Amino acid sequence: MNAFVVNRRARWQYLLMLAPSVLLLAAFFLLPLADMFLRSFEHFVPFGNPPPGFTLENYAKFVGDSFYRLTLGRTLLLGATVAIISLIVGFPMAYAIVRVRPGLRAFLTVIILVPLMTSVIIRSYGWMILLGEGGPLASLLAVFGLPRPRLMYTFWGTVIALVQVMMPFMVLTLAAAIQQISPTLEDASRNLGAGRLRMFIDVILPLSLPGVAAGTVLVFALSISAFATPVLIGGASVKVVATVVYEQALTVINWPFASATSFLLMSVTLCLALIQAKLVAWGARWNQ
Amino acid sequence: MEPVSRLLRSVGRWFDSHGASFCFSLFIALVCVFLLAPIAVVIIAAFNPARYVTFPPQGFTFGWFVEIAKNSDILDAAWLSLRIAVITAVIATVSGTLASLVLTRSRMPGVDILKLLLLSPLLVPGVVFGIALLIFFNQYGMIGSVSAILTAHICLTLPYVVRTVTAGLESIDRSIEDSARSLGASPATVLLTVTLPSIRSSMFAGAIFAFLVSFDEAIVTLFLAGVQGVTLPVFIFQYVQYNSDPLVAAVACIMVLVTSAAVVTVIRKVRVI
Amino acid sequence: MSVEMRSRQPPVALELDNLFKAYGDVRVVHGISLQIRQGEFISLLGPSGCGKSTTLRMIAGFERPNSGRILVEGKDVTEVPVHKRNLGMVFQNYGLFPHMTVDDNVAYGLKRRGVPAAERRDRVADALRMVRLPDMGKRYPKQLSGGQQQRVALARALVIRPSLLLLDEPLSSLDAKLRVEMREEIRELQRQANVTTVFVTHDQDEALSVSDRIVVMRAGYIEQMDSPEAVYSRPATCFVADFMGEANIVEGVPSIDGGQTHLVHKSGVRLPMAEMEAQSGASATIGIRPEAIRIGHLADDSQGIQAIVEDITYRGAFSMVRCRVSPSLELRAIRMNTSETVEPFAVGDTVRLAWPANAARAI
Repeated sequence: MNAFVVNRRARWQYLLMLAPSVLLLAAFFLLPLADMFLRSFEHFVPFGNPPPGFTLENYAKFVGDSFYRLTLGRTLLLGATVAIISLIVGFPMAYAIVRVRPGLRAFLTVIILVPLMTSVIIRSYGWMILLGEGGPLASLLAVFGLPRPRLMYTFWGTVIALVQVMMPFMVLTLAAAIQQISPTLEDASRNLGAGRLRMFIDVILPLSLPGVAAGTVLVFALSISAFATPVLIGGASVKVVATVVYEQALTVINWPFASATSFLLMSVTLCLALIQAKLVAWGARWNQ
Repeated sequence: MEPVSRLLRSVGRWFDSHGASFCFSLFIALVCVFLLAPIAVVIIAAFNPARYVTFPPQGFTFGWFVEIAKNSDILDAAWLSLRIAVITAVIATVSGTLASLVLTRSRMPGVDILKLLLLSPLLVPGVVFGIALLIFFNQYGMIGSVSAILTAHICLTLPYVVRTVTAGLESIDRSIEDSARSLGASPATVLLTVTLPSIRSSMFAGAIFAFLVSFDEAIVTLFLAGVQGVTLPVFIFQYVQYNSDPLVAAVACIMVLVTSAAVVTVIRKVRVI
Repeated sequence: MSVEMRSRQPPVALELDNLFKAYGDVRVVHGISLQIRQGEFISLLGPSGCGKSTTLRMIAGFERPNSGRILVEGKDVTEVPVHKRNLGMVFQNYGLFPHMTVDDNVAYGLKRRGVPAAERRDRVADALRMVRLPDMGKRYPKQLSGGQQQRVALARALVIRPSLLLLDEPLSSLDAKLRVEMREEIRELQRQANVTTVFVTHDQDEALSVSDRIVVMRAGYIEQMDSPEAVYSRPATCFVADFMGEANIVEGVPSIDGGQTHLVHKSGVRLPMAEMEAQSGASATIGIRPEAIRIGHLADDSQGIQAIVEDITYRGAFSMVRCRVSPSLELRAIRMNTSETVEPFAVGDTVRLAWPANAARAI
């Protein structure tokens, strides 16, 4: 039902309303990305002007060099690990948010949202303190006579910090999926003889599967693109693809190569976003 | 043996009826602690007088906050962050709301593609957008300029505004607009007097989201910061890699306060789950 | 009752002993006590908010009563968790698992009880045959109609051979005709399986047609628990009288003269009523069903109360006729719309209303 337009004259009114945002995005979002894509086919010369021409050397460099392949592998492993752990930890939280009484639900929602709304820099800094030598974790373990953990600048330290950063995304996606499961189904299975754990396995898990998949894909995509947390927590020993882009862009100033790496990263996340959208649609049909 | 097995059985029975939910609640509580831990730690560290960050804290002081007031770098960064966040929020909300109105109320072809375009910044990793803008703005010598950072932030926050406002527009009752039309109001009047007031809270929420996203933004801004364009998150990022004193914790503490206040304001108006 | 008669009565299948339930400050169920015998079909009937669903959910175990006991076949199950109570339940939305086939849905309870696969298959097939859906086993719930889903839900509840069958307004999402068909099927199935049944509904038609006894509830209390016939024609309270179909409820002072008891309304009109033990002067309330009142022409009956027809509402098989007896008293009567009606009357006519004295009972 159309509230404004009744004639063709107003068509340009719509275009006018769209102009600011669309032009802005076209000029400062699409255009630079397209430009970057083109740049990835340029030659690179450390000093002076590069020769003109089209080349695939940047892509070849990324795929060919074992260092970059290793980085890619590490990034993917990091993403998968974070996704799986967030799933395991986040699922009960998502279930709790959907099924508890409204007062408690508001409280839990705030706890989920506050980290989301805090800069990732601050959260990562917090983890630097937590996981560090003087941090509360080390002090707590020292009380029990356990050795200080070496988590800073390690893979697993980065995983722990990233899980906390990504968890709200996982919980919100899962909660949306669980909410579609009618509580009557839970009652029915309990009535027929299933204890709570059994009910969880028989009813909640299968019916929330699309949401589980969507959340996992989302967190995976976000984790492989992560920059601040791996740099601050992982440091030089946990280099990820995003770190490579940053270094190549601002330190080495090899922009063609940085562009190529970026483009590869973006392609992967775009594919994942497509898959995730399909999963969400599947989930809506599944629970009719 | 009898009393022992009876004890075991009653423990099992307790677990069946209460124990399972007790363990579940305990787990949820631990997850909540996990989610808030880094933020809590930063706030606590901000009041620790020690030069290094230690736990448990060695006292309580407002000293670091006093230091902030004397540190021109931090004050400049804070002022820059605030200015950018406010202007971003205003521009993003206005242009985003206009776009949302077209998305939900017109019958133009290609509305789906339009929506995809408006939400696309969410799909692109921060580093990718960062380097693309670095190359782009470098051509015009605009690295470190406020306008470059502003432009980037507006692009980044538009999707949040569009999502929030379209949700609000889709949820209001269409029949109030229809009845306004039938009572003789022109389309423009309907827009101004009926539609916009109905989505007041969505627009406000969108503005707050835009403010927060801009205020917290670090990754893209890092690429564009140069020397003069250091916002608060960029400052913290650079400082933290080379210093270990809690000055930065105090800065972060203030940022957390600002964002928490904004979140609490928004929660009251918008249903998330 | 003699000893032999008492021993021939079936045992008590369900007993509720003084159940209380409150949510915070809101009292939902007040001291409900009742006993149901093996094989009986009981309806919990009442308006929404009367506590009938809450009571059912307490029997099933989804809610815990604040105080009171629930005994199934003599055993106290108040503290027993839901999944151990062995009660079959059919929910308002059926609660069929969308990701399982009909076979798997019906087999679910048997699987939980560790019934071996071969026996499961047989019992599931029997159950589906009993509800007349023998070939639907491989289908998914969303491929079935509402009535078919209803029957699968019944099969699933009955196949486990439960101590009780609980039905929570199972027919409310069906259309009118299907509702009538299904309630008869449910009753038939229940007789075949001889399972004690508690049926929650807000539709008094439904309750009247299928129940052995009806429990009329209001605001958490039991107003009356009796056979359908008793609840309808001998209502214990005004609420029951008014809830079970239309009723004329009149207050006045009974007076007895010459073997005939009358209720004297405040406007002076004397209404014939059934005998009752009355203290002279104390006021009483009587109820008269509209179908008991005969409408006759002014000239025909010398007996009968004079009234003016105010409104005739056509209701298909009959019409509801509203008559004004006095400025403060109106009575509603029913006229059947068959071709052999007495001479028709119209709005504004004066008529005579008459009824057998026993049809006007004190409440």
